[in-house]
Amino acid sequence: MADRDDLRAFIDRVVRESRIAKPREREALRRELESHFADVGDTPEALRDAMTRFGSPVEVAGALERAHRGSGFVRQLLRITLVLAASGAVALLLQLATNLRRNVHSDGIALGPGFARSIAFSSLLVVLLVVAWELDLEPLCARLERRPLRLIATVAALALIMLLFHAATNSLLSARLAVAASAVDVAIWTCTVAILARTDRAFARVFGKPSA
Amino acid sequence: MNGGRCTVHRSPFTDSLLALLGKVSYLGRQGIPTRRSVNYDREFLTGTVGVLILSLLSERAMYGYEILQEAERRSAQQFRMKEGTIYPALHQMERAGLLKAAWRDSDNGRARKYYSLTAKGRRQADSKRKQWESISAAMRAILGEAHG
Repeated sequence: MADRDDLRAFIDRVVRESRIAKPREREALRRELESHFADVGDTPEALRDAMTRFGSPVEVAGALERAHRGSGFVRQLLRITLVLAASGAVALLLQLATNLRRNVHSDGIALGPGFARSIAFSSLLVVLLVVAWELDLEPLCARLERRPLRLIATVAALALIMLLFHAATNSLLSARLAVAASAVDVAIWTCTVAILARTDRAFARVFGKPSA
Repeated sequence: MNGGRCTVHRSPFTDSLLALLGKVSYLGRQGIPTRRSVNYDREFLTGTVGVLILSLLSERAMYGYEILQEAERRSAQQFRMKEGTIYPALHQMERAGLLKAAWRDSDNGRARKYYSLTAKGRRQADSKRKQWESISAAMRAILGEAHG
């Protein structure tokens, strides 16, 4: 037989042995467990059955401890740094590949005149996408390569923005170049989101995964 | 719906998942459901609790006990797991950014911690659903051929 005191001791044990560091999180866990048992009734049999169905407090506390282990701050910082480095490198390579020109004066190769502006925009795009991913802003996190219509619309929208920007600054840009440049930016976009998704999965595998 | 209080759309994915997990009871330490009549390797069904949570929460926000009851009800009381194991799974998924939680009053006036999917969780649920359907179709084909 069990009474409310036994249940309180049971919940105390789960909370205590979960070794959750933050008092606020411990109290939230206690409140959640109390709400779990709130509906089972007050009879000793009902309380005993509920505790039996719940499982071993030691095992549940151990699983909770693993779920809450570490703040993960350093890990998250490492993950974001890796994503920024990898995505930045991809952006740089793509912009280099599309901005290299044959230099007619020295018979060598040189970067196109818009390279600095392109790389600045690409860097901004990468940072924006990483922030959107972390803040879970859905429209920016979509895998564009899997949604052809949205991909085409994004290329068109970026091309339009470029044309308007150049028109506002009185610099020349043909529509063909605008589309080509925005296609490169969308390629960087898709690569960055793919890198974010793969890095998330890799970190989940290495450092402890979500149950799914 | 089969007479229960839930009136929301029930996805075929959830149904097929629960069908596979039919006649299961909890065994072991990590929330791995397993059939009573068959001795599975523990690895066989590892991760199904997470998939089940994602699947049920893709329909509506629920609190921990409600998730357990919903899984049990839909599987005609066959899906049973140690109830305490749902919380580590929920907390882990919340910390992984797949779920978000908020306290609010339930229908009976009691405050409950409701979990719902984040955008990341929805993507994960979608991905898991596709994986599940692919594996399920492949297994049906293989088992069908083997028994045909």
